[in-house]
Parts: sequence; C-alpha cells; structure tokens
Amino acid sequence: MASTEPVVRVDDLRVTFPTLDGDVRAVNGLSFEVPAGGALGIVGESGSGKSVTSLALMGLHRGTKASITGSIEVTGKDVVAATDRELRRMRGNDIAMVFQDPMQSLHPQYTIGDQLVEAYRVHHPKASRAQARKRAVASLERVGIPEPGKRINSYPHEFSGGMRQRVVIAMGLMCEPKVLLADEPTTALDVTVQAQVLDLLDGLRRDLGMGLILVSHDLAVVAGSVDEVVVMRHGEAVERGDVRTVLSAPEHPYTRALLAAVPRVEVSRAQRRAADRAERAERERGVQRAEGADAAERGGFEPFTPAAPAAPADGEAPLLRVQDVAMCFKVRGGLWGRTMDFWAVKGVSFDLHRGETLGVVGESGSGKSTLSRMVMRLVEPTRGRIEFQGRDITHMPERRLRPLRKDVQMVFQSPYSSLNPRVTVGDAIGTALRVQGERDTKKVRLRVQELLERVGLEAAHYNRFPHAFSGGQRQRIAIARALILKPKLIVCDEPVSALDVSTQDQVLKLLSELQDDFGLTYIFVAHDLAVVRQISDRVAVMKQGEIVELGDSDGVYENPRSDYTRSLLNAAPLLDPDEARRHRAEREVARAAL
Amino acid sequence: MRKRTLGFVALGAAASLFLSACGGGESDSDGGQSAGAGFNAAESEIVNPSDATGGTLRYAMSSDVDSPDPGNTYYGYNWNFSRYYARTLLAYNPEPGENATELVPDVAEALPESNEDFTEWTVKIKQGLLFEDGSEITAQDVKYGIIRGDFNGGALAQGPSYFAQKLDADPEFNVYESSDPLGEFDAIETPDDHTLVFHLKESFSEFPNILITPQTAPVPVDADRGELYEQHPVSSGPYKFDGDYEAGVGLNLVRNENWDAETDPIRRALPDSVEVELNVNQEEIDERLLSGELDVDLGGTGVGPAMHSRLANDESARPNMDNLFSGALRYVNIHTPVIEDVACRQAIMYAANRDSMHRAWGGTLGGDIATNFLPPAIPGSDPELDLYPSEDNTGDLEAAQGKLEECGMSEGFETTIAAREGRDNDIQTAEALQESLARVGIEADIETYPAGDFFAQYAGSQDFVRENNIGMSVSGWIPDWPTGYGFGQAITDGRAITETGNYNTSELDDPEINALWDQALETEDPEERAAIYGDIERMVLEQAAILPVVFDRAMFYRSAELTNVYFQPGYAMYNYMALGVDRG
Amino acid sequence: MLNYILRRLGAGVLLLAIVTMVTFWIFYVLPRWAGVTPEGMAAMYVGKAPTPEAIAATVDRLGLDQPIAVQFLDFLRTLLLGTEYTFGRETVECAAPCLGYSFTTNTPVLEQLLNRLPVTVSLGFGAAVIWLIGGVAVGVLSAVRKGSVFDRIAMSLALVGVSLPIYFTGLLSLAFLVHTWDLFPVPRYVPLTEDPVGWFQVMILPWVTLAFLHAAQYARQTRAGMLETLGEDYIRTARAKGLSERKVIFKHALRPTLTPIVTIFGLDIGLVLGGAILTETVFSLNGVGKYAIDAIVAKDLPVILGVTLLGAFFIVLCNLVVDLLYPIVDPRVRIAA
Repeated sequence: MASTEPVVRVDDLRVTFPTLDGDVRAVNGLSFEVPAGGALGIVGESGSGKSVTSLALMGLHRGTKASITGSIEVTGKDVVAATDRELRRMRGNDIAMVFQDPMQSLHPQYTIGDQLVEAYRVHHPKASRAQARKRAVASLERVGIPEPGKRINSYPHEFSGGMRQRVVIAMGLMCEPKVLLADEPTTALDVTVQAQVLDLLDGLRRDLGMGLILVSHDLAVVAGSVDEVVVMRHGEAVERGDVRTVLSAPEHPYTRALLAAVPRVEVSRAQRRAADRAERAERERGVQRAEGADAAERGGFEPFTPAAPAAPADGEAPLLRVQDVAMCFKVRGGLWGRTMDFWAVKGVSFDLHRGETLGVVGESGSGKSTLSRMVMRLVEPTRGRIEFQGRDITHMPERRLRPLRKDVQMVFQSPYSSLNPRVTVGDAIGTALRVQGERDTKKVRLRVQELLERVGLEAAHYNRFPHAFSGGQRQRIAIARALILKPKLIVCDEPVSALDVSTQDQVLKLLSELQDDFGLTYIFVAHDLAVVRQISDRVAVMKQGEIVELGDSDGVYENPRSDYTRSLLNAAPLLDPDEARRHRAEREVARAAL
Repeated sequence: MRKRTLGFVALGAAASLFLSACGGGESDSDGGQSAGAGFNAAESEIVNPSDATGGTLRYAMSSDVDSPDPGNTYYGYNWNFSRYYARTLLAYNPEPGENATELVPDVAEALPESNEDFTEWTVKIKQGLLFEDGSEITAQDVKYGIIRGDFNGGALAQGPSYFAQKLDADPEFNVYESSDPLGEFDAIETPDDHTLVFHLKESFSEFPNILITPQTAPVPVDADRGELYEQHPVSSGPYKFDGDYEAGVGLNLVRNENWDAETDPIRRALPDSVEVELNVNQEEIDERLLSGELDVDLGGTGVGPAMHSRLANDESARPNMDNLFSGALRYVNIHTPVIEDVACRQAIMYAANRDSMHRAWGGTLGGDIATNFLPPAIPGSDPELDLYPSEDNTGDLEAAQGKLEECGMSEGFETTIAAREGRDNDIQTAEALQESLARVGIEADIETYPAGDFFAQYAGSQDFVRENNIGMSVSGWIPDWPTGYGFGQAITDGRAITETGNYNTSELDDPEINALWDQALETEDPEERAAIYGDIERMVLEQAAILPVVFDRAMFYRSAELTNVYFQPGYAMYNYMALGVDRG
Repeated sequence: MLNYILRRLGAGVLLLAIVTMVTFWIFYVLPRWAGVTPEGMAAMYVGKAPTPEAIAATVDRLGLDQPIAVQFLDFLRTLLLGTEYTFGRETVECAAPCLGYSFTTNTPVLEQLLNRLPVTVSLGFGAAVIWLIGGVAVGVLSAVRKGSVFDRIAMSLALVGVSLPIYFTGLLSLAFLVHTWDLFPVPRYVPLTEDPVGWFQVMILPWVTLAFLHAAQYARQTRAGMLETLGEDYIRTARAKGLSERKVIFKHALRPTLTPIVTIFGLDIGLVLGGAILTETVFSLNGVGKYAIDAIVAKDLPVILGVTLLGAFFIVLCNLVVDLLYPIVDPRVRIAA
C-alpha cells in the first residue's frame, strides 16, 4: 500500500434513465472510495442500483440514454469527463471488470486465447502476438487453469462454469489493472466453485496489490472478501462502513432486515419454524384486532389434509417410497457420434411421509433435478421403483397417471419462464381446475381469488398478466397454481434461487405456513445449503447421481458424516467475516494437501 | 381427309397465337404527316426507299422460332424470314399494294404449268443456282426438300402437310427409312436436273399457292440430319448461318457469296448480316424498338399490349406506326345444328351490334368492322357487302324481330355463347353480342372454355355443342394462302366437318357451297376463281352461319432506321426480304 | 470429422436419389394416374402441334407405353449410363449423366444446361455477393444507429424491398436506366472470360434487381440479429476490455450475427434458380432460369425434369456446404456434431 491516494473515488454519483413514465433515478447520490489494494463490497437487492454503479465505473453507460452526474475517478482520471478514447484506454488497463455470468460473458466463437490476447494487445499495440500469448498463458496459470498452454486454444464452451469464470478473471488481469471490479462473479456457480472463485479473487488482491470492488446481492459472499461494505437500496447507500461493523452491528433497519433474511446455515429447521410460527401468530392477532373478525372465517380455504405430525407414527405407510431408482440418458458424444450411456441418477432410495419436507441438496450435475422429474413421473426411471400412496407408479402409462397428477404438483426455479406471458394470472391458476373438469367459471374464479389471497396476493390481481408482477410475486403465483388442485405432494425445484434474499425469505415463510395449514408434503430441491436446512425435516445430499448422505437435517448439518457434505458446508459463504476467513484458510490447507 | 384436317389444326394453333391488343385505341385521328413517314404509310407504299447496303439488321422475338428448318415450320413470320437462306419455288410479288399477293417465280424459272384437269403440274427451275458450298441446286434437291418435309415418319412434325394431302403418294412413305428416297418416291418426278413434275390425287387449281412454302426450298440429301438439320440449314439464299442456331437463344446470318443477285428478283439483300435474338421479353422488345436498339420484332404480330396502349395515346408516335391487318377474320360461328332455322340465325345477324363488338376489339386501331366474310387482301373479297345493314352498324332490331317471327320465335329464345378463356377480346365480343341480342329477347349465356382445348373438346366437339345448347362460339381464322380457298374452305366446306377438333364449327353443310369449292379447284383463271369465292362469301352470309366481327389490325412500330419498309399481306407483316438499315 | 463429412455426403446423395424418384413420379407416374394416355404423354414431349406419326414415334422412342417399372429403369439407365437418340439417318449419343433430350429444341438437356449455367452462375453469384454485403452492411448500420433517420429509411426501404416483385423492379429499371436514360447497355450476356468489363456492365442491373429482394431480407435479419447480439454480455465484456467500437461491432458482434445468416445464405443460394427464372426472363438473359420458364411454356417435359434435378442438386449441394461450413463458423457446433 504505497500510495494513500484512493484508486477509485466516487462522489455524489447520480445515474438517471429517462423512461416513458418519467426519469428513473437508478443511483442517487452515491459516494465511496477504494484505497489502492483495498477491497470494497457493494451489496443490494435487485433494483438497488449496484450494477448500474459498476457499469458507471467502467463508463459503460456511454451511448445509452443514461445521464450521469457526480464524479467517478479511477486512478485519478475522471471517468465521466474522459473522452471516448481516454476511456477506452482506461478500460481493461486501469480498471478491469468480471461479469456476473461466465457462460455469457465470453465470446462463444473465439478461443479464449484470442480473447485474452486481444485484451492485452488493445492496450499494448506494439506487443507481438507471441508476447501477448505468453502473457495469456501466465495469466491463465495464475487463475488456476490447468495446462494453460494447451487450454488457451479452447473455446469457452469447452470449460465448466467455474473455469470460465476463472478465464474471465484471467482476462481482467491481462493488463494488470489497478482495480478489479467483480459484479456478482459467483451468482451462477455452485457453492464449492463459488468459494474457489472468491478465494482466487482474494488471493489475487493480496498478491498483486489490486483494488477489488465486489458487487453482490449476497452479504455472505462479500463478508469474507472485503474490508469495507456499502449497502445500497433504491439507488442510495443506506449504510457504509467496515465490513465487521456493518455485519455485526448494523445501524440501518434495512441492513438489519437484510441480515435477518439471509438464510443461515447454522439456524436449524426447528428454530426457524418456531420463529416463523411466532411471527405469524403475532401477525394474525394483529389482523384480528384490526378487523375484529374471527380468524377462522377469513378465507374459506380449508385444510385439505389433516395436519399431520411432522414425525410419522410408526407403521404408517409413507406417502412416497423411492427404491433404488436410476435414470440413464443416451448421450451422443464426440465427433464420431458414438452414443454413450450417461447415468444421471444411479440408485437412489428414500421414503417420504405425509407432512414431511425432504430437502435435496447438491451441486449442478448431481442429479437432483432428474430425481425430482422422476418423482413427478415426467420421465420414466430406467430402473427402480416409485410408489405413491402405496401404488407403483414407476411405469404407469400416462392415461392412468393422469388422475394422480393432481396430487403431485411442481414449482419451478424461474418464475419468469414458467408462466405464459400471454395468459392472465387467473387463467394460469384456474386452468388446472378446468382441466380436471370444473365447468362453473364463477366457482373457478372464486377459488382462484381465495388462493391468490392465501399466497399473499390480492384477488384483484386475477386479470393481470405475469409481467405486472415481480419475481417474488410470480413465484407466489406459481405456488398458487400448484395448490389449486389440493395436492398432497409438492416438488419444489430451486424455487427461491432466482430471488433476492428478502423475497426468498418471504417465499420460504409462505411455503412453511402453507405446510402448516394444509398438511403439505414437500420435496425441496436446492443448491443452497442454508435454504435447505431451514425448510427441511430431513436432508439428502446428492453427488454425481447418488445420495452421499441422508438424514435428519440437524444431524447432517451439525455432524456431517461424508467428506463431501463437509466440503460443501465449508464452502458455504458465512456472514461472519472472521469465520469466513477461517474457512478460507481451511480450504487453502485442504487444497494444499491435495 | 383426316390428314387435311390435321394440317388445319396446326393452322388453328398458329391463328390462336395472334394476341390482339386490348384497351386504348379510341383516338381516331390519322396523325400528323409531318415527322416520320406517316401513320400506316407502309400499308400501301415503300417507306424510306433506299439502295444502301451494309449494317446489321437486328431481329428479336418473345418466343423461340418453331424451327429454322424450312421443312419444319408453320408460322408466317418464319416463312417470311427463312427466305434469307432458303429460296422457294415461288414467292409473293415483292411490291406493296394490290398486287402484293400475286405469285412470282423464285427458284422456279416461270410459274408452273398444269394439265387439263389440274392433276399434274410441271415446274422448271433456274439454271446455275448455287448452294452456299458452291454446288449447283438441282430439281432433285427441291424434290428432296419437299418430300422430307411431308414424308418423314413424324420427325419434322411442325410444318404443313399440303403435299402429303395433295400428292398422289403413299402417306406412309418415310424418307428416313428409305435407302433411295429420291428414287422410290414417284409422285414427284425429275425428268432432268431442272424440271419437276408433280402428280396429284385430285384437281387442285391453287397448287401454285403451296409452292411458296419453305418446304419447296432445296435441301441436299446428304446434308439432311433429320431434326438436327435446323441447327445449320444449307443456304440457297443471300445469307448463310454463321455458327449454329441455338435453340431459344438466337441465330446469326452472314452473306452467302455463292448467291447471285441476278437470279433473284425477290430479295434485296441490303444488310451485311442479320441477327436474331430469341426469347426476349415482349416489353423489352418494344422498348428496344422505340429506342432504336432493335430493328424488327420478328414475330410480326405488332407491339405488346403495354406498348399498344402507350402508343395509342401518343400522337407524336403516329408517323412511326403502322396499323396493319393481321390477315384474320374475327367472327362468331352460329351453330346450324343448334339454331336450325335460318331465319333465327338471320335474326342474330340483324340484331348484332357490330359497333359495340368493334369496340371490344379496340375500335379503329383494333381493326375494321367486318360485314363480309373474306379478308380484304383476298381476291373476291367484297368489303362493301353488307347483307344485314343497319344505321351506324348498331343492329336492325325491327328486321331482327321480323326474322324471329318468321322462325316462330317471336318471344326470342335462349342459347349459349362459347368463348375462349383468357381471350379478353373474344369474351368482350361475346358480351357485346349478348347485350345486343337481349334487345330482341334472345337470352344468351356466356361460357368460357380452356383455349387450348376449345376446338378439341368444347366448341369444336359436336356432342358437346349439342348437349350444352351452344348456339354460338367466338372464333378467328387466318388464311394459309391468300385466296378464298386458302381462307374459307376449312371453315365452310361441309366435308371438312369433324366430330371433334371441328373448325367448321357452325357445321355449315350446304351442297351448293360444297360444289362451288370443288368447282374452284378446277378453275384455272384466278379471276374466275375470285368470282366463285365472291359467290361463296355471299352464300355463307345468307346462310347466317358466320357472323363477321372485325378484320383485326395489329400495331407495328416502324423503326426510323429501317429502309424499304412495306406491308406484305400474304404474311400480314413487313416484307423482310426488302428491309435494309440506314444508321445514318 | 471425416466421418461427419462422409455421413453428410451420404445423406446428400440419398436426398438426391429421393428427389430423382419423386421427380420421376411426378412427371411419369402422376400423369398416368390422372388418366393421361402414353400418346397424351408423348404429345407433351413433342410440344407444339404434333402429328399422330410424331406422337407414335415419340411413344416408341421414350418407351412411354412400357410398364412404369421398365420406364423407371430406363430413366435411371439413361441418367447413369447415357443413351442414344436417332435423328433422320443420324445417331446422337447422350453421354451419362444424360438428363434426357428436348424434342422441342432438338438438343440434349444437359448440354443446354451446361451452356447456360455460366449465365445463371454469374447472375446468382454476383447477386449473392451484392445482397450479402449490401444487406449485412445496411443491417449493421441500422442496428448500430437504431432509431436514426438512416435506420428508419433503410428499414422502410427493406419493407418495400421484401414486397416488391422482381418483375416490377426489373422492368422499371430497364425502362428508365437502360432505355430512357441510357445509363446501362442493353442486356446481352457476354462471358466474363471474353469481356470482363462488358460482363460487369451487363450483369450489374440484373444483379441489383435480384439482390434487392434478398438484401432487404438480409438487412432486416442482420439488424435484428445485431441488436440481439449487441445486448449480449460478451459484447459488454468486449467494451470493458477497452476495444474500439468498430472492433466491438465488426469483430465481436458481427460474427455471431452472421452465424444464422450463413444458414439462410446457403439455402438462398440453393434457391437462387427461382429468382433467376424471373430475373433472366425480365432481362432476357439466356440462363438456366430462362431455359426453365421457356420449357414450362412450351411444355418441354425433359427440360423441366432436367432443370428440376439440377435445381435439387444445387439445393442439396448448398445445404451440404452449409452443414460442413457451420462448425467452422460456430465452434460450439463441433462438439455437438
């Protein structure tokens, strides 16, 4: 830290977008500084203006309609006032950026070598290709790409997501910038890979003395990697300060709420449920008081399964029994077009009892989605046996399966693509009823409206189209759609992973309430360990198509028996910066041991 | 007889190619005589007379030629054009005006002479005529040209078959299957190298008329390659092929040094070369004609519809336009078996509004109102003849009513008019007729049928006509050769009636008329024959079997760079042999 | 990779065989089913006004009175081994691959096709170059200056262009540019090898006319693709590297935009014969398209059949080339292939 001059100084930054409905202030008076070699976290939920800020730092709003006031200085140069030429000279040279989605942020049609070389030569036009290439290999090596000399000729699609993010980082490092700006660098990645990327960034910062700006929606992601943090909301910084202070003693209520909403892997299902129920009771009392009405009369939606004890009575037949199921896909591989067998799921067994929630956790490619699709009988298992309510549905023909379909519903990950944009919400939810033979339009409407209210929306939303709703609201709609047929089992496939933390929290709460009210049984598939813990009675950890650990959720989290579970838990981002650094150290030791 | 009809079927197909222009043409001025040679100047005089030689005469046409092989062609324009390289026994008189269709000798030394009953004809040919390779043209070469054209087992199917119909020969004879075609074929004798004797089956006084067909051009036996001869016919005329004819693309002619102008009164041979571009868009041809990038539209049917309406409305273009007879009569057949009573047919003749039917053909520029049967260029034709006169040609309703009463149909009757699909002029004619007949209570429906099968399956099918009560059909006819016989025999001789493909569509079968046709073939004097044709004309009209509508005209644009332009009514277009270019 | 190429080639050959069979079926079997007699079929082959002798000769010559199976074998034998035709006293050989003989123009079909191919290839190739470069350039400019006056004019023109028939633009340009203002020579094809300048002068109008229609479509396609690509994250990455806007657009954005266009281009080139029919007719160029339309008018079945097969051959060939080219253009396909 030779210089005391900050490498980035932002003062009273305002970014305004003109829209048809008037100007939108995406960033409204933001100020911060990053000292040379320092690390700053910018945290906020979607719409907080954090990404707009990071683009503004790169001057990437040029050419759009955005108007920018205030000052942005990067290594002493004014980004706002710079000419296009000067700005281009800064980009990648003084300040480099790592974008959110490594799948999308590399050009699919050029080799990574070409892209790295280009990044160097644009700022060093005199450098020869060979020199630039040598640099690229070095850079790739630095970010931990194995065999960089060989891999440099590969195309992006030949890398895994984590490796691709490393390539993007390597590209950012080509010109040894003074600041590295990472905008949600780990969002699309699995936890273990996320941990690796964060570790890498942290290491690079230390080794190269680079300033780091880490932008994320997840406080836990930044906690272990930055010195200072800015919490943003609606374009303004609600809180700014040392990361330890902000996380341990947040001043602003929003920060507090945000922290509270972050699912914590250390909080158990029982704790969470107790807290939720207490809060709900409190809320309902409040409503009762306010309305002076009887809670029972509110909403005619009766529980359709008697609330069952969370722990099953011995001897009761399980709702769902999965025995040694496996799924094999034919994969056309290689240039020679030979088909190979790919076992997405290899022999998974579990029982699921009424009113219980089974969490299925695993990284991408672990087979968890295939498993849920088999349970839904959207695909037919290659072998094994699935019993639902005592009936073997493994190879049941579609026609006989149809009456059972209403008992098993699904909620998908993306609340955007799972709703048809041209169908009103009411129709989207009501269709299933009509499919099942309900003719009375009024009745359908009434049921749908009741349900809309039950999932926290308004009856008046019936005629609106999906685009009028936020992500969280859409997921509520999806849940309502799943509920309309009074199912016994709901399979949730990553239902909250696309949502902001606070929304995520609300949806989890809703799911929990609905389970209480209707005695639902869930299979909850997710990659986020903390989320799974908080909703599941039991947890199954999957890896490469197999369950490596299955047990009572507290047991799995607190005394993991498998190494894989342990490494997952170790990689999980933590809110406590010191704890996070301890974990990082452990990971480094573990890696070094390899 | 069967064969003969088929010959005319081909003619019908040729006639059907006459695309008449629609619309426009309402202005009646004769145009200014100041610039250009004047409107219709080439109809009766030589426009731009000149002896200047040299240059390239450029022809183009919107389709392919049927065949450059003189033995395999049936289109007037090609009979006209092929004379550049194929000299025929006789030819049309190379001068404009009244005598243009007189026959004069070309390869022949003099006009042919016949025996008493016109069954044997003798032709002497000129001595010292040479092919392009310098060898002498003999009577045997002429004989071979004729027989390969008509006796070829179907290989050269496109030409007419007059000789097969008239010569006293085995119709199955095939030159390509005979080891010695000249020796075996004896209906034409060649007593010496310069004499031909034709033996006919029956009297045929108009035999000289068929000696103008390109089939009478000499072809050396050794040069005959069947269908492939068309690629490079051996020239006897002033020009020879430069390279091969490219089907659908074009052909080029250059001077033939072995042609002797002294022997040839027919051809001026002014340009140094002639080129033909084929399959060029009609619109493009017309544009090039106007802009001087082309000299003649080879097809000889005038400009296309688009250019027609443009020129019709452009007074300044008049001096460069010729409005020439297509040679055809446009008429309505009144079917005698369907409308049996002659008085009923005459009622139609009276009631018809010729003026409105004339308008269907584009008025003044579209043609002349026809009140008689024979086209004006044919000897014996009497354009003044009008058996069913009326004021302004709008129809004599009173007389029509009288005729209806006479045939016991005073309230009128119902019938059907057949017309060819897609032929706008035909259909408009039918509509005009329908309207005029309605004035006397004759209710006519109009039915249109596919043009390609109109005679084969519809209006020319006896059964069809009777079953569908088709009382009238709109038709058109052009002469094979410009005499009454060449024009009218096929459509008015009762013995030409056939069950299908019937071109005597009115089914007129009058013993007196039939006898007159026979008598004409035994009459030597053309003027006497013309008188006979005049009688036939009157009788056909009296029988009210044919309702003449118009002698239609086509619009020609006469390039200012063309010299010696005049109308040859025998081909109903300019005489190509006279044309030269003056690019000055 | 070799395996892939071989498989594609095999598929192409198979497709051609199927097209051949379907073509045969359409021209030989279907009319029979529709009740056309062998004589009726023969009449279609001789064209114009045939005599019974000519028809009989043709029935005999083409074996039209034979059973369909025999005819098909004959057809194949002619195609693969060639055949001989007799004219007068002369025998002409039609060497394999013999696409038949036109009795209307008295020429072997293949020979005519080959004679005329240079015209159509000149036309198609030149037009393709113009429409590809022109369309893509306009599309790129429009996308980059989205909403500008240029964009609006270009896209309105493109909309008009897509809906303007070749006949209209062709005749209009002939009437004004050639005949009224004398800006271009009267179109008479001269081979490139004989007179390159003349070739260019003659071909430029037909090129532009044929290209206009496609260029409009390509401009729209390029613009849409470009706008989509410009919104991609990797474009932002490219900008963040400090690349100039020109490099961003022409190196990073254009290539993915062109990828789908390569496919369309391949198909369009294969189908260029369709546009050539109209263009060659309007400009009186004696290419394959003109040959086809003349044959259709003259009901010259052997030629129609030959052109159909040639057209199919080109479409299959172009698809093959696109298939083989695609992995080069888009590396992602290499693995999936």
